[in-house]
Amino acid sequence: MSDRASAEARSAESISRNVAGGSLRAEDLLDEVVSRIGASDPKLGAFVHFDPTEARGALERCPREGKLAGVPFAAKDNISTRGTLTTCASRILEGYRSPTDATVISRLAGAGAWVAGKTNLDEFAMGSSTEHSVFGPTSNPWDTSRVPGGSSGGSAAAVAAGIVPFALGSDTGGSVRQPASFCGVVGLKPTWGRVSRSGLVAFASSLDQIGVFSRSARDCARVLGVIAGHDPLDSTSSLEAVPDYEERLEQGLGGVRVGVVDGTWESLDAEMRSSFERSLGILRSLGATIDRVALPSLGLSIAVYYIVANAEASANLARFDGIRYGRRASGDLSLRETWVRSRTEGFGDEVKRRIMLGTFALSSGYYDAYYGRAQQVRAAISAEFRRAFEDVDLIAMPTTPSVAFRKGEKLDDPLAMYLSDVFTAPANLAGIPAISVPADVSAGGLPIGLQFLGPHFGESLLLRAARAMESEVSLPRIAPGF
Amino acid sequence: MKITADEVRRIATLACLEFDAEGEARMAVEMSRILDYVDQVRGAAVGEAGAATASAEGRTRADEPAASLSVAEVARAAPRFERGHFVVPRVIGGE
Repeated sequence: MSDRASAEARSAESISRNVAGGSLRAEDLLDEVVSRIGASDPKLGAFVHFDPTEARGALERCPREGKLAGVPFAAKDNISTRGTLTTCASRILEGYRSPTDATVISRLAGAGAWVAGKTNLDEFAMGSSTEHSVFGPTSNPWDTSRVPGGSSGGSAAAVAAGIVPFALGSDTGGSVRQPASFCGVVGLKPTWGRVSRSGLVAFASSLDQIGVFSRSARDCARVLGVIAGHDPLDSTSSLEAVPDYEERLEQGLGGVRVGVVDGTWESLDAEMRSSFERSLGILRSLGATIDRVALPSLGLSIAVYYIVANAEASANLARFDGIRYGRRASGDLSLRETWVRSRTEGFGDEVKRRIMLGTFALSSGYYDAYYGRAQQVRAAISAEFRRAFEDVDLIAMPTTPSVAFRKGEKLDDPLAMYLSDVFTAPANLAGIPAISVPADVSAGGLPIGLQFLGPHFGESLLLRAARAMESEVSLPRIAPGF
Repeated sequence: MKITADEVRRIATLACLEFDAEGEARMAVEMSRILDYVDQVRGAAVGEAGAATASAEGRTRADEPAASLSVAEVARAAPRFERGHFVVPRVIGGE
């Protein structure tokens, strides 16, 4: 069977059709997943919790009908799953079992999908390489000496290696799109508020959004259709009606106005720049028009992001104090010593660094200069995107400034690691949807993603663009060797 | 923005974290470098659009009693829980 035929057979769309039609037993899929994890995961480290008995329980609780009947999926380990481990790859949540399912998990279960296992991440979703995990790093299925990106690297690797047809991640500054690009899969960050965040362990609440990894735009559209929509448990989830994302998927890009942003891609290295230019050529051949748009404040995005995200993280992570859940430091300690020791022993270096930066930005004497100012620049970035979308239907941008980097390459340089989010963080700041779709392969055999950004609730057009792109580029849907 | 080891200690106290001398020195270097980079927002010209800070709209649901987590479910996740209460070190007279 060709790679493409094999990937098609393992797609969510194909599995659900065959399970609902009775030609495929969901129980056989569990055996397949067990076998694939056994064969692939020792090389990847994509899964941090996989228990066949728990997976069977999840499978048995699901109906054999619905848009995702019988489909296995993986969930990033910062998304709560009832009764099973949810650790955020942190020592401070060692052994923690959530008493509830996240809304996305219960909605997927209602549509027939079942959680196969939980995937690795940078601790509390803070990182861009999945190296900051108490469980150790995850490897990129295309080249195991390289990172899969992050922070949702385990989910990206699980989909790219063909273990599951789709996976959930969370995207605060690019944590779905950047690993999707590095691993050669589709990665969608929906509009902020499009998908309930209830049950997602909060990192930076005004930026966090649960997103989808898949091997095709169609599967991504199907999953989004299931998880999108208002949730009474998340007061920030939108009341905006959920369209049928699959309905217009094949309508192509004829007449669609695509914007490219001055100053975003011209300074890339030659290979990344020519790949992006090739993608623009493909978009033109599909009937899209390419226009330049100006986003003058975009260059400030990373600076703004690392003030706002860390400030919110320092507040959100204050709840981890060793009292109500998680790990508590032992010994004859006062209450304050219990808080300080539990946090100091429980958090890793990167999380501590971000809590410190966020606490600094919110502290007396610095609040206005850093946090207040960053929020003003953020508002300016949002306004610039709104103006740009008056002239174009969507914006095309590289997803990442480079292909997947080597393990350890940026571990000792936090700022260099932060700058790998330069093209992805803007969408989070503006709350707009964005998708990364595989567009090319480098001379060294590594995938290169193309990113589309759209106006609020513009997911239908993003998915259409992703579908049009994947129909034109012939890339392996499952990483070679898996 | 230069961060000193004293400044690291002050922020760590606010953040309920603790560093040894080596950790303080490393954190001071890393924070200084990152703050040097993010300092560019302080002088940024944001124009009219940036006059208002970004804010999210939220809505509240009706204040109606509904099923919630049971005490037993909460207790299962707690490091120490006895007779319906989280157990903490003595506070009154304890510090």
